[in-house]
This record gives sequence, structure tokens and C-alpha cells, in this order.
Amino acid sequence: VRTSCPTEQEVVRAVRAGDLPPSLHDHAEGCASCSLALRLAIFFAQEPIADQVGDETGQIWRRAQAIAFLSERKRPAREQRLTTLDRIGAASLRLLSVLGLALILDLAWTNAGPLTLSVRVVAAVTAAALIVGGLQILGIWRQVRRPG
Amino acid sequence: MERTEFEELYRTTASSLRRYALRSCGNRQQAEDIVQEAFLRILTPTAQPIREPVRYLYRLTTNLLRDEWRRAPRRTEEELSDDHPAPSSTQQADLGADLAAALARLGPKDRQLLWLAYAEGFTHHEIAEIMGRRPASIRVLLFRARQRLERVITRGGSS
Repeated sequence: VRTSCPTEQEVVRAVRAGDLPPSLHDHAEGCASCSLALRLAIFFAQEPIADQVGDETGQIWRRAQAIAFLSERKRPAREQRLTTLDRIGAASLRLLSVLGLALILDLAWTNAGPLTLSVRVVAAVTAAALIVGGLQILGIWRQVRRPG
Repeated sequence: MERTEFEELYRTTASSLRRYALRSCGNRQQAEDIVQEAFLRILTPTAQPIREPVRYLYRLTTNLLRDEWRRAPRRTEEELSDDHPAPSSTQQADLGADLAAALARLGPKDRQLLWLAYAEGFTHHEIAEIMGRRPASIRVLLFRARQRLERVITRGGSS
């Protein structure tokens, strides 16, 4: 089984703490796995601290705040836009329903005889109601599927 | 995350994270950009609370490095081999130079693994979490990375 020596971790921890006991050092000298671990740990520990570019915490914090602020602003605007579309769709549907019903009733009453509704008028009103209703359903579906 | 908490995290982690990124990608400016981006992303609200912010930062940095390699797979390792200070003795200098040259010749993933294991002292389980792999895979990958390193050192010494 390809495994390394279980003492490796201890060797690395000791180097990181800057306190390598002689017993561990002796073990590392005789163990191929720990010897490489020791070399690497010492080498990495000697790596110079990366240049302090400056304290960027303030800059990063402000950027994060700006990103959060912008995403918060975007969300209500999108919601509002969808709600407005939704309302327009619903109102149009109601209006058309009322107009259609009124037209049917008017035709029925003014003919003063058996109901003589034109197929063309009924088809037109139904088609209009279906289109508007479909748009409204599409609006609701988009709102439900909106991420976040 | 509160601002004071973030500042403390930055103070304790930024330097080693920079070295990790630099050791992995070999380009100081790129490493700096990646570390800044990782710190920015840790401030982005997440669905679940971050339990281990240091490991989470390493994971973010690892993912950003991976994204960068996907965009530009081969970058020159211009700053890796000449990054160490002059050691105090000739023997140390030889050992350091050998290792620096050998590490610079390894692939970035091998360097990442070796850094996480021997510079940061993370366990296989922690490295697996950082790299998004299983601990058993990390054990094998780390073993292979060490083998490759040893081979490069031996070849370097014999040539």
C-alpha cells in the first residue's frame, strides 16, 4: 500500500512550531518519508513572507458591500417589473372577459329572438382571452423560476 | 461575517494564502489577484454558515487557481525558483536550490499538494476538503507528487 510514514505529520507540525525535538530529528534522518517531509517543511518555512501589499481589508470590505448593495437593488426592480406585467395581464384578461360577456349579452338581447351569436365574434373573444391568459401564466411561471 | 472578524481572518491568513497561490501559479500578480478575489468571495453570503473559514479560503483559492489554469493552461513559472532568500550555509543553499528548482519543474497540482501537506501541515482529510476530492485519492496523489519530486531531485543531482 502506498502510504507515507505516520510520523510525517508530527515532523511537519514540529517544524511549523519551530521546535523539532532531537528524537523526531533522529527518526527523520533514518526514515526516507520523514526525511523528505522534513526537507520540504524546512524549505517552505524559510519561504519569505509574501510582500505586504498593504492592508486591503478596507478595500475588499467596501467592494463586497457594493456588490451586495447592487444585487439587493436589482432584485426588487426585477420583482416589481414582473409584478407590473402580471397586473397588466390580469387587468386585460378581466377587461376582455367583461367586454366579451357584454358583447354576447348585447347580441343575445338585441336580436330578440333565438340566440344568434356570430361564431366569428365568439371565436375572436375566446382567442383574445386565451392569449392574455397565456401571457399571464407565462409571467407567473417566470416569477416562480426566478433564481435566488 | 463581521468586519472585525474579517480583518482578523485577513491578518492571520493572507500571507500564507499568498505564498500558497504564488507557489502554485508562479506569478506574483496573478497570485495577488486570486487571493483578493478569494477574500472577496468569502464575504459573499452563502446558503450555509462557514464553519472553517481558513480551509474555506484555501478551497476558494484552489478553485480560482483551477479556473485560471483552465483559461490559460501553461504559464511560465518565472518567480518560483528565485523566490527564496540566500540560506546561511553552502549545504543549506544547495539543498534549498535543489528543492526550489525541483518544485518549479513539477506540475501546479503537485506543488499545491506538497504545499498544503508540508507547509500548512493539513491532514489528508483537510486537503481533500480543500481540493474537492476524497481523502484516499489525496493519499495516492500526494505519494505520487513526492515520488515525482524525488525523481526530479535525483535527475537534477545526477546531471
